[in-house]
Amino acid sequence: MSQALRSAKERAFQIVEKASRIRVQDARDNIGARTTGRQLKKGHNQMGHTQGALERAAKPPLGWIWGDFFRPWQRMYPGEKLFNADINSRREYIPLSLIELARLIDLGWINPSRPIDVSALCATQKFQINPKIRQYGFDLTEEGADSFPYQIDIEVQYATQSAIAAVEKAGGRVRTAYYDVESLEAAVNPKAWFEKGKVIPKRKAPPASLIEYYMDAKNRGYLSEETEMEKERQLSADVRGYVLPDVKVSSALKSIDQVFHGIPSGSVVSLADKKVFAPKNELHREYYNRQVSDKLYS
Amino acid sequence: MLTKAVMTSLCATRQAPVNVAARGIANIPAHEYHIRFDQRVGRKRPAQDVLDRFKRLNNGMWIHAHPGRHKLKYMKDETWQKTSLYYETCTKEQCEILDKLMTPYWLRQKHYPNDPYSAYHVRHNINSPRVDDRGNFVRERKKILMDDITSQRFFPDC
Repeated sequence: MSQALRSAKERAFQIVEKASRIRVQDARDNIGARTTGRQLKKGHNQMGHTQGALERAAKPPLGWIWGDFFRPWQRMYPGEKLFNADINSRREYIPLSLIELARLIDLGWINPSRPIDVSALCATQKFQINPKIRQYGFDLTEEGADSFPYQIDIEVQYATQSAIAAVEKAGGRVRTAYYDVESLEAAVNPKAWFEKGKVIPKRKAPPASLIEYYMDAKNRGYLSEETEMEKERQLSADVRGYVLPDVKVSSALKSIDQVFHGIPSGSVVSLADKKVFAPKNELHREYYNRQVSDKLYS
Repeated sequence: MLTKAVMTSLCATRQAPVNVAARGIANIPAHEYHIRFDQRVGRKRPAQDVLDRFKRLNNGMWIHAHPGRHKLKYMKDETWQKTSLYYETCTKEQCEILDKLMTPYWLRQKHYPNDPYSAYHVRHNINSPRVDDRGNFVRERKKILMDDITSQRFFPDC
């Protein structure tokens, strides 16, 4: 075939006929058309040890510091007995300042004309007492003692001298009384106690370390004599320079083993029937009517 | 006759809690890796080491005794004799570590009558926020039914 015979179009067709078919592999860059990324930082060449591997590795325990390999940091310091050694024998009280008490009365959470005790304070749902973690009731503190206006009859578990004086200056009455764990549990949530059908317990005598506090008329302890308490009342009025008001609180005091006002210990309360059942058994009756409270071994 | 096991137990020296390898990589024993949890109760155990050595004040600060206060006392001066008996406060980071090692019981504010530490449970002249992100007080107890102005009037420093 001579060149002259063929046109450019024929020659193009001939070339295409001779060529192999186009495949996907043919559609690729020439060599060197694109470059792969170069190493920009030295840290990128990690040879299997990556930052993530370091992050996921086991860490030293909390407090472990480099240089002191044999103990954590918190073990460097000397032990101190005064810090936490007696935590299991300490008694914790919920602070109740006089200003908070006044606010409770102001806003109608507590009725000042009725005796105020653990049950009345807990019924406001403003305090959480857990007798199981050695919380033993309320501590009446003196914040707001300068202007406490209400004449109240209050029973707390601990009270400062200034708080006692402030309440008595307003014509009120303070008693400090001990609640053991079981009776405090009943007093904190009476509804739950009644619904369980439990017998209202007898309040036990305070432990040896507290009996002195509750027998002291200065603290208005519930085990001290009325006459002594009257003397102390007058004494604190003289010392602090105020006149005791003539009006006296007339509501009855609880007996030393009574948990609730008006409900004798040993009885069972039925909320459904709205009745209080007294014990019939002679032995139980004798036990609960004895005016001596049980000794507490704790 | 002593068996081999008895012999080894008698001759065993007290092992260091951390075995330092030759190249300076410390192998920490597995029981030291974690905050301890009680298997029976299924709860965190507070670190007893911390409870023996530190005290948490109600404002969230931790204090500890001066380490080495009984060492070579006769060599040291009067000021040191006095100040070494003081308790020291921890830094904020240290307090955070210690809080992590505790249970909620120990992070609670506790009130004891006639507490010798009562003066140290409050901070004075602090401008940092009183509340955390949840609106709870950071370093003072919650007062019931009280606005800020009344609260600051009757509880000046806490």
